[in-house]
Amino acid sequence: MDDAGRFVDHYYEIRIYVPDAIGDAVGSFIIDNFAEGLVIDDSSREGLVGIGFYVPVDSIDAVKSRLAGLVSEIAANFRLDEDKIVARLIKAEDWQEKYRQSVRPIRLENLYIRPPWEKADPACDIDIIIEPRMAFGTGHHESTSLCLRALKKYVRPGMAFFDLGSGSGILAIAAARLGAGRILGVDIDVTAVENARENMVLNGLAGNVRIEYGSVEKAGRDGSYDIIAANIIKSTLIELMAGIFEAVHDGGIIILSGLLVEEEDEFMETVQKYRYQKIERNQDGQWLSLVILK
Amino acid sequence: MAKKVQTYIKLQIPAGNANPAPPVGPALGQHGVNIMEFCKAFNAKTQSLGGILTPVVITVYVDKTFTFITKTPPASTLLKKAVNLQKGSGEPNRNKVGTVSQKQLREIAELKMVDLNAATVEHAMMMIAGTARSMGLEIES
Repeated sequence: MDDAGRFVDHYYEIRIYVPDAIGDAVGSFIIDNFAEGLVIDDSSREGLVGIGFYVPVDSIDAVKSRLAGLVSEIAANFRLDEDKIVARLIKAEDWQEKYRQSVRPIRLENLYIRPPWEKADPACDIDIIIEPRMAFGTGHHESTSLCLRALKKYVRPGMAFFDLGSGSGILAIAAARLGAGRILGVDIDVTAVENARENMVLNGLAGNVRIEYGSVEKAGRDGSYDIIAANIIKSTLIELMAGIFEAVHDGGIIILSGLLVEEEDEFMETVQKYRYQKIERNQDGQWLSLVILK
Repeated sequence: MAKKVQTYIKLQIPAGNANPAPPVGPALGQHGVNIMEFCKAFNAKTQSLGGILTPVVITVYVDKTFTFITKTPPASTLLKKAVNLQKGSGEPNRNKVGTVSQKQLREIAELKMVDLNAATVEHAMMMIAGTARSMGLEIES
């Protein structure tokens, strides 16, 4: 990604094959100087490990030359021939498109969540269209379906709903379909904000649902919301907990998701610091969601 | 019946900080894996590890679902942490950037034993010492 958090269009994928014994050191050099992460291929060649990484297009020659320098120092008997350091240009849209096309519709009770090219399911009375991009929330993940079930149970017509970490906007769309009135979704990821706005248009909700760049501060501190959903991860939920409780009035509903079952005890210690009436616990596989009646 | 495996993807990425940029996006996207769901699950599992480089092996099934396991950080990462080094040397023979003690090598070897192809801790220490030298670290005798 570039400095503004947007995706770069083109990358070079570089793959270097070196003897196993120096693979770790070469990987470390790449992490120190060129890339945030590596793809390891230890299956293809006898005694060699392939280390893959991605760099911006303009830096390719310098990267290759510095890698060759390192390898010649630490493996004097190994020749880094041309077939052992290969680079190919890849377009971000290629792998994004491949992922996009792999997304299938999913049915959750009377909700049908589908990419735009699939037809609606007449057997489901709530139809949600999600354009699959690099934002979380296609409806397939347990943490999402736990939230959707809770929204179905608690959203009443006219309720004000705040979606913290809105991702694709799936929960905001579901809340709108369930009759919520004022709806605001926020995310700190530019790509997610753009995707959520696109999804509001696809669902005919651009005028009903606001999506903004930001976090819990956008909800204000005056308890103006009836219901809030935050499907993030434990550490972020703990960090934002004070703001989450301030956003909802007494008697309002807080839906927290993205927790792992193994985190329950530690997480509950944080929740216990706040005033609430009742907690409902829902689990799907290793994922846990809490519904708090404030 | 066990699900049919399509492929295995091996990555090394910072704990708690997976995002759809490379390498995660292209590595998973080209196999039709739900990139964001992997990021969510990986970040949830590794959020307490302070961003340390973490190897992860992802099993992708033919129905595009996936599971993953994480492993101990690479020896190079543990070495940098042990000797408080930002970066290894780009010229490890000529430019030494620090010294690692036998005690540190042993601690790293013991931690890495579960993931290394080493019969004994001493053998693992030799492997890790080799990596240390290739990063420009000297070994205290």
